[in-house]
Amino acid sequence: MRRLHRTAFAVALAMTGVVAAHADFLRLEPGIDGVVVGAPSEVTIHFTMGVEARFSTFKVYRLELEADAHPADLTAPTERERMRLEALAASLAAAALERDDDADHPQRVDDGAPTMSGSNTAVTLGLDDDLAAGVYVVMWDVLAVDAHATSAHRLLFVAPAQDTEEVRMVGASVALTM
Amino acid sequence: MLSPTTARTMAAFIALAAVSLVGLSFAHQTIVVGAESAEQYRVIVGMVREPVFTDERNALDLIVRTMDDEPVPGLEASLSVEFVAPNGAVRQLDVRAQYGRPGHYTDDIMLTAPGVYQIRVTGFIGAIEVDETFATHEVRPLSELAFP
Repeated sequence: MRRLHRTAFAVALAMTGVVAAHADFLRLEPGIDGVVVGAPSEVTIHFTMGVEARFSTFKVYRLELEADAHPADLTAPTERERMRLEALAASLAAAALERDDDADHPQRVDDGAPTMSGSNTAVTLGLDDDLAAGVYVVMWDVLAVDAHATSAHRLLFVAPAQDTEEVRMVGASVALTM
Repeated sequence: MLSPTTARTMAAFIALAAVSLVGLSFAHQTIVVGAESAEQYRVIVGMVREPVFTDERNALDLIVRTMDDEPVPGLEASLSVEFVAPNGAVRQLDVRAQYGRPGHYTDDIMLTAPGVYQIRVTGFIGAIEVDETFATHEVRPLSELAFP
């Protein structure tokens, strides 16, 4: 029923003549390149344009990994590790975004109550308390204000808090080179 | 009961549709990955505009589907694609999802030399590691079409 409403809404929006690019991902907060040190209490997804919250879905799932798929260093996953995790995340996101009533799913770690920024270009999701270190998948299926629908995901690496100093150094390095 | 005319028309339509489908897939090359695994995918590679001529804007057309013909979306960051020109020059592509076409990926490119190009796809699909090389059909010089 939600999909039907969304389609009807998209058609109605399209008929208003609003034409623009769809809502592309801009960045995740907190973190640098998806790496966060210590358990974040929330995560914010920024888009290039406003999204319709009533017709969009946002979820965060923990990525369950075999031992050999774990990044050796959560603060600095290698390119190969990232590519492997991205593929696993794609499978997880495709399945999770299809699920309804998954609030109690053991892998789901967001509170299911997204809050929007004033311009609807940023969505904040509350996360479980004391999130364990590991790899998480922030995923969405959104309807933009221009009636274009997009689905995507991003990896969120939650590193143990003791690595904070090292990541501050990485962050400083990235900031200096930008 | 169909009349002979209706039956012939339907048969012609079905035959035409079949030929069209064969034509569409003929220009792309398909490789099944994960052959020794329970998890298998079809990786289909070609160009958006085929046949391919030099010096015209074109784009990669990379499609990933399950063996049940379901699209596999979300792989733009887990797959890497490079083109190898007939003279050995290599260009790395920045793969992105095709809007509105789940499981389809692309990047723009303009091929400037005639010949056969290699398209190497590496990375991961699901839990499967991929390293496959495809070949384009002969890329022909655009001058062949020039007239007068």
